Amino acid sequence: MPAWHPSFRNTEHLPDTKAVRTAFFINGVAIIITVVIAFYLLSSELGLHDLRTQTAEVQAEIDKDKPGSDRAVVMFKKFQDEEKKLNELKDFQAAPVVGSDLLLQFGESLPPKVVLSSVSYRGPSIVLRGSIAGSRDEASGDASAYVIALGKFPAFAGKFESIELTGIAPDPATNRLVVEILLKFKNAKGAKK
Amino acid sequence: MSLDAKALGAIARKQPILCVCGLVSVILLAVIYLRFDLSSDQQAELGQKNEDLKRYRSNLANSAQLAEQVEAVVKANQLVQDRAIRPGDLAKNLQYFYHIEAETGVKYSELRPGAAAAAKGAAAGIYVPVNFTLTVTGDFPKIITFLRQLERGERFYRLNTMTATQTTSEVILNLNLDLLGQP
Repeated sequence: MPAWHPSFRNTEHLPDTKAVRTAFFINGVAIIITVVIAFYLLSSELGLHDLRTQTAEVQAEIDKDKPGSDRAVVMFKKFQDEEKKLNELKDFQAAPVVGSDLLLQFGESLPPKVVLSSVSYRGPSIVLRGSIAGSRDEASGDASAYVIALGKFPAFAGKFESIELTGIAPDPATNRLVVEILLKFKNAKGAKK
Repeated sequence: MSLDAKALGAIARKQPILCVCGLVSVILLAVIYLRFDLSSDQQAELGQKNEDLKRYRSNLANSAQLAEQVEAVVKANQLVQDRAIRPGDLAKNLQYFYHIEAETGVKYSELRPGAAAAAKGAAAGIYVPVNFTLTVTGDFPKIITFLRQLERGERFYRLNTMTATQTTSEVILNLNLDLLGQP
């Protein structure tokens, strides 16, 4: 309902007659906001101080451990240099075969009828030359059997990629069958001993 | 301007607590803004230092026996160097083979050092292979003993090629080998 007469009250100059004055709330809120901001800043500063303290402690540990670590790094570099020399020796000695063992192993693998006239090692392969006693028919069978036996001989197991009979011819002078067998190592440089 | 100052003065007189709180809040916020990056920078610095410390401690832990290991490797290399021949010391090098000949009873029909170019070509490393070509004659046991002497001898040896040929009574052994040398 509209006022039935004009209001001449000057509200700006009239006293605040509420039970709790508005200024109390405004001041309270302002103080609370200020205190919250102050607490935030204080906690940040305390956190920062804590971080600085931790950093100083870690730095002290670093100062204690770094000289020893630096010495260890220098020593390790020396170890690597020396190790390189030993590895070079290891590479030098990584021979595909041991000569004496090879000759003895071929001697052990020989069947009674087969005689080897030469064993030739040339890095990636070995060539055996020999002869077999008996009739041509029988001797050629013995030659094939010898090739199979070489593949199964324990000392050569897994060492050769292929073992092939590369030559077979009768020798009228000795009445024996001359054979040539090629043994190829598993890799180009030869098998490790 | 003077009106603004007067107005502000009036507000300050009327709401002193509000004004003081506002002023303090602005100052505090300014300080928070200015110091905002410090915490994250400090956190990053601490993280980096922790990483460094971890690495240094790891180095120390891993190097517990490093001194002994270095000493052992240095000694081993010294022994290797003592056993390596010098390519230019021809008389001494051949003497090594003649000594084995005398010990095993085989006979050389050929003993010559390899081409110097081969040794020069491999001189990039710490050691160089010093090449020799030999033809040895003897019965089978002597040939085996001779090879064993080379394999287990004072000098480090590497077999390049080998041909063993059986004659009526003896074995002829053609060898091409390298002895470990140092330039």
